[in-house]
Amino acid sequence: MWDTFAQSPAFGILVTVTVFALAVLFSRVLGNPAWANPILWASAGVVALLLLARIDYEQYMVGGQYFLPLLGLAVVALAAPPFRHRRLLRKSSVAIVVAVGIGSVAGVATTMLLAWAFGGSEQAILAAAPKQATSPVAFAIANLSGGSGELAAVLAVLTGIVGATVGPGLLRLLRFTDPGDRGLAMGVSAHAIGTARIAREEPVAGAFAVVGMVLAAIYVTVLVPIALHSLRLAL
Amino acid sequence: MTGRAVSGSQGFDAASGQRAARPTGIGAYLIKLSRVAVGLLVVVACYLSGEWFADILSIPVPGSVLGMVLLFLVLCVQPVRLSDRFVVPVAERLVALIPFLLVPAAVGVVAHLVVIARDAGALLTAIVGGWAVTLVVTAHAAKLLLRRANKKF
Repeated sequence: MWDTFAQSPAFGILVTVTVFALAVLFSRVLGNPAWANPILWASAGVVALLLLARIDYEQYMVGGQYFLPLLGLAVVALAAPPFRHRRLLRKSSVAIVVAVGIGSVAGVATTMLLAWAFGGSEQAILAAAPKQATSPVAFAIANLSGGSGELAAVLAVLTGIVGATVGPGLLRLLRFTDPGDRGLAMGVSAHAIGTARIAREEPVAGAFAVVGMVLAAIYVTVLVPIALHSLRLAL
Repeated sequence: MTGRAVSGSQGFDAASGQRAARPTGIGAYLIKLSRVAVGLLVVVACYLSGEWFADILSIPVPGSVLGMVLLFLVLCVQPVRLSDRFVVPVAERLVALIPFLLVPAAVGVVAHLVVIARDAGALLTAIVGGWAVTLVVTAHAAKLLLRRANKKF
């Protein structure tokens, strides 16, 4: 009975749903701080469960694999949030597009150079390169460039947590008070997790963050293959 | 995790609420269901087109990201009323699902624990350094460009 269940797709799906629900509950009870991110703790929970119960990763993925095509569909759906804030884009679209572009170029370049300079392996560089993009996009980019999408998604989540925790304070320290500057900086540097954080206290900045996050995801998608190609040529 | 928290003030929910006679019961349910189906169909069509474009152009860009750009264009081109009523609610529901859908992907890191252990220093530096530079550069660029853009109006 147990064996049939553990071999079926229902096992992976049920484990994911249960552990994710617990992680969301855990985050809510604590008041949704960035470090209590449900993705991080739910994945850690599933990993711990698999290790403790001595269940193979492959066995979990019999059910887990069904989530991945839906993730691609969800990336497409990311067009909706900036569409809601299209008025913002209409007013100062060129300035926003250029500012996000400058930030994305700086981000991808620094990330890759640091990973390389501190002795990271090729796998590490490939996974770190897209981490500035929102996790599902980072996952897709890294998979496509021959790196580990799984690692890229986790690195993106960690970036988001750092950005959401430290970002607003650092911006205040550097005397950025305009909601446009604050929102774009948070959305571009810490994607969805940073956006959720700043939107809670500053709704106007939150709208800018949404637009910045999705634009940055597009920039990173284009920049990573170019940057990887030039890094390979240079080495 | 998503932009849901900041959205919701606009849209046509208010407009549809003002209509005099709203269908109730099973009728309302069927209308809602068909709206979701139409919205989902548009998103899926954009996804498949994106994958198809990425394939025939043979560019190293995920089809899903091309699909996202395509969906944004579709939303802008069709009458706003249609976008807001059919596609946007479904798409936002999908976006809200992203954290949950990412869990099996993130669980996959167990296969890469060797890379993580070996390159922990490089990865950590890249995360924090890359983040800090992105934040500061974007904030400065926005300050410079947005102020200039607002002066014109």
